[in-house]
Amino acid sequence: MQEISPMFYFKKFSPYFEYLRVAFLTMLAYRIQYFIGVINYLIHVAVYYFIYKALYTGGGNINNYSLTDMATYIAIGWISKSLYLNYLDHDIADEVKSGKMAIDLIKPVDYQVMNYARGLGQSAFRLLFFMPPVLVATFVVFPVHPPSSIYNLFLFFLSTFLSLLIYLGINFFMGLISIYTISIEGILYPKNMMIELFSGLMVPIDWFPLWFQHVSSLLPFKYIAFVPLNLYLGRIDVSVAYSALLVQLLWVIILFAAGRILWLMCRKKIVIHGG
Amino acid sequence: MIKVEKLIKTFHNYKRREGIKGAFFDLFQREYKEVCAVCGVSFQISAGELVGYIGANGAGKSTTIKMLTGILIPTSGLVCVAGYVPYKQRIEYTKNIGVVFGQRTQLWWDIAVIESFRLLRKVYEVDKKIFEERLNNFNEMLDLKDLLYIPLRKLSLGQRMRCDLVASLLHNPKVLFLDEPTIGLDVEGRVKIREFLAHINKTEETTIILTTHNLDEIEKLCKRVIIIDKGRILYDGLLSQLKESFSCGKRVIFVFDEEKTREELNNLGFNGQVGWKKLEPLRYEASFDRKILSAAEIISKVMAELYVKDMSIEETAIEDVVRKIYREGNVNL
Amino acid sequence: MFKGIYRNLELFTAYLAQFLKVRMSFKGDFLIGTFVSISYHGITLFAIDTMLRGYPTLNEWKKEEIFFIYALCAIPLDIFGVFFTNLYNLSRTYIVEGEFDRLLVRPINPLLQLFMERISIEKISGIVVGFVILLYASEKLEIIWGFGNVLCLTGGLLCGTIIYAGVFTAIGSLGFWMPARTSMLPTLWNLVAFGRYPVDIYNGFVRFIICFVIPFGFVSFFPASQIMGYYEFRNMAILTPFVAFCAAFVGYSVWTMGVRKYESAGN
Repeated sequence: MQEISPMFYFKKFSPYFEYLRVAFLTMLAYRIQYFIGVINYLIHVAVYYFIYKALYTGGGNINNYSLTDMATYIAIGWISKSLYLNYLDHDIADEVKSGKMAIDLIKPVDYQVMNYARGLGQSAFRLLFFMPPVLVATFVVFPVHPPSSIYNLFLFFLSTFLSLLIYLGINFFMGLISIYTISIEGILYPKNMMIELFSGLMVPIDWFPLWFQHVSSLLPFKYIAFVPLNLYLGRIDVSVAYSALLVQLLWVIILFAAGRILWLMCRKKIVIHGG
Repeated sequence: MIKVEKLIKTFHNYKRREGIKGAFFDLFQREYKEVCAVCGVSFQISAGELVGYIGANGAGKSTTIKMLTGILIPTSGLVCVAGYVPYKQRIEYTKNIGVVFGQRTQLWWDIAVIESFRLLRKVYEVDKKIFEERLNNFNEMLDLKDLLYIPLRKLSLGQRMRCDLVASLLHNPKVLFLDEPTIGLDVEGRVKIREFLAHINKTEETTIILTTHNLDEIEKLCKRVIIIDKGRILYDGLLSQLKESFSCGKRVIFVFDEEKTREELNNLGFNGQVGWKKLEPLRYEASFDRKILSAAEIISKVMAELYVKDMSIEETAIEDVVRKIYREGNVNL
Repeated sequence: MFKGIYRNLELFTAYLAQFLKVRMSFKGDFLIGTFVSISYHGITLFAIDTMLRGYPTLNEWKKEEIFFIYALCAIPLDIFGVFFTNLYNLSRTYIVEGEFDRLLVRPINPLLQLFMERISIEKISGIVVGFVILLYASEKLEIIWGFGNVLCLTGGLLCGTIIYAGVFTAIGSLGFWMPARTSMLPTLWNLVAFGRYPVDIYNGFVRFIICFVIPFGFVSFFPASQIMGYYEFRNMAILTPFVAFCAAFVGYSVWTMGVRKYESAGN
């Protein structure tokens, strides 16, 4: 009989915490990347801010968003992107192509959970070191308004955490998919573009024509940015908010399962190739 | 052909602090320290020589080679190869040299080897007729025939290295630099390359500088060696002389039929001129100074007194010599 | 001088021929490249189109004018992309992993070698897509392609490509001082986005940056404004060749200094 206690689970997961910690430390080691990253986000927010500002020269509301709504939408959108973003897809594809994956396979850890842990480590880094300066800079430079309530802020964080898991799921899956293709870039680049479009990061989903809105509600992407942002802005009713979170959770589970199945399939292929 | 004087190269390295806290501080401020990779190296190599350049990891040999090939700019000092200052007249200069990096290929990964050669012909402006002639020659020596039409990535390490060697020699360079050319190769591959290098050195009078960790190779190829450690030259001279002066201590190993006590062995009548050491049960080592005793004397005396099951004479290997030099940090001849 | 140019051209064709041979053996890459280009431009334009659906002007710029500027920003970027993609690998592959050694032991200009070692043929499809956008927009704007406009367009595209090359080379060369696995080029790539829209939508600070610091405004907006007949920008537009020259000069100078600074990896 196996002992089931908190200690047991702690021990079972402690190697994954190690992966998380190492990912965190690796991020710290690249300081140039860090400073560049902060600037990158400000540039993105600035470009979109000025476009929207020009768009609103006539004043008033567009599709029920005011200019400050839009400024907030973009600024918070890019800040939360800094939390869920990771390059797991590239890392996995690289590992497969270079044969480094063999090293991971001889370790007594679950490959998928390990990769999720890595991604969480990167996000933890960004949460602690990346987000604060970007947040401060954005609030100083752009007319961003605070969350509509503390409760909304809480929902936003919960939802952003779930977006992180969705994003991890997508990236794990896509990283493995690229095993089957010649050009990794040819798959991953359009994927990133699709996520940017369908998550509503460039333009809110409800600005798009109806057919697009229908398509996007069948896909997991809008739960990465559009839904958390609307929770922040208080544009989603509290009663609906829970169901939105529930759907998010559902996508987390579906993507994890899909990743697991693909992983089991790939593993056979990798073993045949000899790693 | 090569003249190096008081060559110095220093790098700036930064220290990484430990732990999460340290890494955090590193984000904002770093501590730098200056590291002297090559500090004051001087030597001269004449045309047609084949010199072994020996040193442990981080001893500064790659840095020296990189300065000689024009990759790195010296912090101070003088380098002159084939009448050029490598880093100043780099483009003209590189037409006169061939370089092989053991861990890095010069050839294009995805195209057939012959295509890479053809491209290099244009890069080095080699006459087409001469090119074909040389290639045919090399083909025969290294039997490349079947390899030429295969993309590089499908070749084994040994095959790839042979192709890389040919690539570096197509333009008939005056000097050939080889940085660990046999790293990771099997015995057969090493022998092939070794024979080829010896041949090229002899027939084309190419000056060759070779760095390697495999001292066996140096021993079979080079008359002269330069040993470098911590950025300084420890020894520069003939290999035979180095061995001579270090192998004055010789050893004979005896296997007896039963255990011997130290007393028993000391009473053999060498007046303490032979040191005995027990290696394993029944196996004993006798070390002595060659200037005083000969191996024959010892063997005949021991065999007269005791029953010897087996024995062997051990020559000091070059590896022992080099190890000793590193340990002592200098060479006293 | 002429002999040098001739030799470099000859080498360039030799490299290109080799490269094409590799490409042919990687079937499908070209198609994938086309797919990437179309999806990239398609998605961006779709987003702009959606934005402008409610209010059909952006600070009094019409949608088609935005598209026109966009095309003039995108075409030089893809021309640049065909020949200069390897700048992206400079920091990681060449400087950190030490591949740059290889370029230095050959008798060709290392910058030229760097560019020649990776030619992104697939980006040509991006150029084609860019011209489609350009033609669409010019049709809608009823631009007459007289001698002046054609000259303006070719000059603009040429200068734009040079500006991109100069700026990207300068920033990419910073890797010689700060070897890192990721370079600063993605940041620059983001800055390109500023050049896609009319310069007058930005505030003074951003305007200053994209005119005089990272001069991406000269790639697209100023040449485009002349073709579209907004002559109030003529004084700036006339500076375009000069800016291109400066960008090339700065880029090559920083590169040369960087090469001198190069500390080969390994020992």
